[in-house]
Amino acid sequence: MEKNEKMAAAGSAAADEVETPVKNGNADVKKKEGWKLKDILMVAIVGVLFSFVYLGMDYLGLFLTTALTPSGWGAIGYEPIFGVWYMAAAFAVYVIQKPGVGIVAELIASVLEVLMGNWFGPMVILSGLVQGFSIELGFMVFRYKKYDLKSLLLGATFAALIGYAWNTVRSQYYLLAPNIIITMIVIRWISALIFSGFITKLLADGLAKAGVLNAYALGQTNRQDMDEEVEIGRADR
Amino acid sequence: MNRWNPFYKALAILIAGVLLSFSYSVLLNLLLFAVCMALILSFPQKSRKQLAWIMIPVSIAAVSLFMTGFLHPASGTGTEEAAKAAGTTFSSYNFSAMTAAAGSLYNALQLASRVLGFAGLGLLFAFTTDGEEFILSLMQQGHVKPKFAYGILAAFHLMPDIKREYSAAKLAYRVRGIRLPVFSLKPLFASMVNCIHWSENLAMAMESKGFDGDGGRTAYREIQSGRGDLLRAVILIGGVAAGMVLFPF
Repeated sequence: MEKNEKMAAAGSAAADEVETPVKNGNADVKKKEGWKLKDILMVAIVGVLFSFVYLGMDYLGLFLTTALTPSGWGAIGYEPIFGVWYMAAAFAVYVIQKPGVGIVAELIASVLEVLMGNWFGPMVILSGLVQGFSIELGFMVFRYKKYDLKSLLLGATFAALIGYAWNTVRSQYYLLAPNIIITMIVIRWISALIFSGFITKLLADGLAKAGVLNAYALGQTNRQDMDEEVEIGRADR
Repeated sequence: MNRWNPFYKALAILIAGVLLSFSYSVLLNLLLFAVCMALILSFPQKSRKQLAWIMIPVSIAAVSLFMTGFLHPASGTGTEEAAKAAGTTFSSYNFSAMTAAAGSLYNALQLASRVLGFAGLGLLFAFTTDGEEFILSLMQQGHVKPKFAYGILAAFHLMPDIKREYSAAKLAYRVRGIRLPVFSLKPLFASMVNCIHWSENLAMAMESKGFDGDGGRTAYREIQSGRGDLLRAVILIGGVAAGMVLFPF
């Protein structure tokens, strides 16, 4: 009895799979492109929201920098909030789960940052490229098969380290004492782990559970789990 | 400067910025900053108050990097190391301590002026470029796909609403008398739910109006580009490159 029900469920699932290409015959061509307008808008709008979060914390960075300047530790003022920069890419890769998403998402976010009048101007786009690539590297290591906390944390680690290397060249941080450099890297790393690792996962999982991300890969895997639970529940009855 | 095609302007500033990353000249950084500020201020229509506001974080960043570089220089230029390496006689000790201090002062100036150089380039772009024109130019001259360009533009124009949404979500908790910790994720989560719904509705609305994100399209507003853009790019990039060669300090 249980088996029959499960087979029926499997059958209907298979039927669904056959049906979809026919239904979306037209959309199939678009699918090859990868990026749908909906995905771009989601990434861009969420990116804007994250940049408001960053701006809200910007005062903290400014305050820390000002407070630490007399002691010569001012350079580390912005490091505690650095992880917020990587959130757009981390969120996009974790939710959409396709190769290349991290780089493109961070590029979109950085172009928006330029539009908002960031005083680094177009240089931000280059930083965005570096950050997006680093976040994505965490998923690339697992051949884009693991979309979990481990990949997110690895991506955050790469973002902090590669991002710092880029900063070292750009801002001549190699002129600073080793203890300053090590402190900066460690604080940035912790910030990246917290913001683009744990918090991003918490937010994305919560959204998926709420059913907001049903149109995306993360929402679908979550929904499948829930469907299975429902099926099991029925079979038990 | 604001007639410079935004895409080529961004590209030229980007290349100049990368070049500047590999320069060690304090003079070049400061000169670049001065030229950029002069160019920005030569446009009477640009808000000087806004420029003054933005200079606050810029100058704090520059001063704090100066202090960090001066008080905590990389070893080798450090005062203590140089003093230890100095001779036993008092005068030579004094002399080497002085040269070491001069060395870390120069390092600190390098760090601080680098920030100013970048700020000059970045602000020059920010203050002379219209956001919408930049995106249209990215599409028309940079061949960015319309779906990306208009997607970014849509988010750009939604900015005030996103901001309002985020503060409304925070307010909603206060109205109910719930005190949230400063770094609470709850308002962010609530506004993310709405933002993702918006993105879906917006995509649907755009597509139902016949928006085709991949196909070629004609433009109502054509962003001009010509030889003048190339000339300006050559002047900027050439100027930075020449400065790298001419100003060793």
